[in-house]
Amino acid sequence: MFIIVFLLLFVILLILLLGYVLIPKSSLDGFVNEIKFNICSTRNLEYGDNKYSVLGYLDFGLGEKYFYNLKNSYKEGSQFYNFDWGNFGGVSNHWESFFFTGIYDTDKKTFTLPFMTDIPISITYTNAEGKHTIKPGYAVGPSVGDPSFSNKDEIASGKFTKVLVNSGKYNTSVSDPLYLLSFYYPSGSDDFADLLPRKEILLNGPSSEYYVGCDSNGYYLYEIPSAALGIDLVEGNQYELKLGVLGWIEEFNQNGYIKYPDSVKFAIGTVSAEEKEQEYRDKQLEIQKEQAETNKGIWDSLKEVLSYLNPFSENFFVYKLIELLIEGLKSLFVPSEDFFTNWFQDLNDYFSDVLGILYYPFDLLVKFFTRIGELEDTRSAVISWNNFDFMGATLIKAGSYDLYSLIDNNETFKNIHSIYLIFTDIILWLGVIFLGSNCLRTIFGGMIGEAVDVSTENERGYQNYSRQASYRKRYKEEHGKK
Amino acid sequence: MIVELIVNLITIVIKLLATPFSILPDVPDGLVSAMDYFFNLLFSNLGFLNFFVNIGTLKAVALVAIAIWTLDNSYHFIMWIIRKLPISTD
Repeated sequence: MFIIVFLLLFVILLILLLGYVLIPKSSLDGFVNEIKFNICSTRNLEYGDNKYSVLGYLDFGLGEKYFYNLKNSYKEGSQFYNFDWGNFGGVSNHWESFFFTGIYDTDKKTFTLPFMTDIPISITYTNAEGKHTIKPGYAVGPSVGDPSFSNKDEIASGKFTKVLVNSGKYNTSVSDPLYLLSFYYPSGSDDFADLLPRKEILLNGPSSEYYVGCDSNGYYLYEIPSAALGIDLVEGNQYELKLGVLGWIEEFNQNGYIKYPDSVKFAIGTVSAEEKEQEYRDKQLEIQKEQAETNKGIWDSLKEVLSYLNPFSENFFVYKLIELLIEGLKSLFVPSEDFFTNWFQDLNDYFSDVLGILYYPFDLLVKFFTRIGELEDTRSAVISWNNFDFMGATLIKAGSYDLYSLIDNNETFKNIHSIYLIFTDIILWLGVIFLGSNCLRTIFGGMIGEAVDVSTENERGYQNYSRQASYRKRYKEEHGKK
Repeated sequence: MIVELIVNLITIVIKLLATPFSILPDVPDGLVSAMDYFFNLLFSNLGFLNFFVNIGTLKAVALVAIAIWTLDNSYHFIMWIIRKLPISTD
C-alpha cells in the first residue's frame, strides 16, 4: 500500500519537476514594451511656431511598417518643415510627451529610426533587458547645396546597378521639385528627339519610393536601381542622367526645367578579351565550387545516416526515439506556456461578469495578493490619500504620511524597530516550520517517539480488550443459561 | 494536452453551474465606485506593511506555506482516490 503511495508521489513529483524544467521560459526577451519620445530642448514648441523640425520618417507599429510623411505643413521661405504633432501616430497634444509602440527587430534587437531633427532629441524604450536610449540624427538644418550624384564615377564607368542622388537644398528648403531625367542618344547626334528625357523620376523627399534617409546635413538621399531608369542599357549605346529642377519659365509662360544642377554621361562599355577570359575563369571556378559543395553534401548526408545507427553517436536513433517520447509526453501532460494565465484571466472575467457583486470578494482577494506580490522590500511605508469631497466641499485634503518618520529621529526607537522586525521574521519562520511539521505528521504518521507511544497505547488497549473479552466470555459461560 | 482537456472540461462545468447567477441584477454603479475607491485606497497603501514586517520574509514564507498546503492537500486527494480503488490492502 505504502509502496503505491510512494510511487504515486514520486510520479507526481517527477511530473512537477519535468514541468518546471521543460516549460519554456518567457519568450518575451527583447520584446519592446514602450517607447518614450522626448523632445530635449529649451525651445518653445508652441504649435505653429516655425522653429523646429523633424525631417525624414519614422518607422513604428509592431510588426508593420507605417510610413509618415512629415512634410505636411511646409511654410514657404522657411528652412524647415514644421512637424504637425497632431498627425503623429494618433498623438493629439503636441506639447505633451507621448508614447508609441515601435518596430523592433526581434532577431537583431535593434531599432531603425532614420530621421533628422533640428533640435537634439532622444528616444527611450524599455524592454525585458531594461531601458535603452537612442539618439537620432541631429542637424541644425540644411545648408545651401545643389543636388548631385553621389556615385558619379561609378555611373560614368557604365558599370553600375544603382544611382545615388543627394538632394542638396532641393526638396528640403526649395519649393521647386527635383527630378532624375534619363536620356538616351541612339544616333549619337543632337537630334531634337534625343533631347527629350525618356523617363522623369520625381524625387520628392520621404514620399518618394526611392528615398532612403538623410545625410548629416539633413539632405535627402535617394537610391534608384538602374532597372527603374526607364532605359534599356545596351552595350555600346550612349546615355545621360540629369538632375533637373522643375520651375515656372516666364519666357514660355509654362513649367519647365529651369536648372540642371548635375549630369553624367555614360556608355555601356564593350567587354575586352581579357575581361571575357577572366569572366570565363570565374564561371568555371564557381562551377567547381558548386560541384565540391554537392559532393560534400552527399558525404555529409551519408555520415548523418550512419550516425543514426552508431550507438556511440549523439544521433543514435534510440536517443532520438527517447527524445521524441519525452517531447510527446511533455506535449501530452504539460500545458502550453500561457495556458494557466489565460485560463485564470478568462475565469476571472467570466465570474466578474456573471456573478457581479457576489464575485467582488474574490476579485478583491486576487487584487490583494497581486498587490502583495508587487510590493518591494524597501524602507518605505508611505500612506497617501486623495481629496475626499462631499457635496462640493473638501472634507479631507490630499496628503501622505511616512510611518518611518515616527522613528527616523530617534535612535532608540530605530533599534527597537529593528529588533521587532527580527522577531517577526523568527515568528513567521517558526510558523512555517510548525505548518510543515504538521503536514509531515499527517502524511507519515508522526515522529518515531510518538509512533512508539501510539503503538504502546494500542498494545495496552488490545490487552485490555482481550481481558475484557475473556471476562465477558467467562461471564456468559457461567451465567449464559440464565 | 490531457491537462488542458481536463481543465477545459472543468471550466465548462463551472461555467454551466454559474450560468443561473447571470439573472442577478447589476449592482448600482455608485456602490461599486465607492467600494472601489475604498479598496483602491487600501491596496495602494499596502506599502505601510513594510513598517511592520519584512516584505521579503513575508513573500518567502507565503510561498513555502502555499507549497506545504498544496502538498498536504494533494496527499489527501491522492489517498482519497486510492481508497476508492477496489484493491485489498490485506
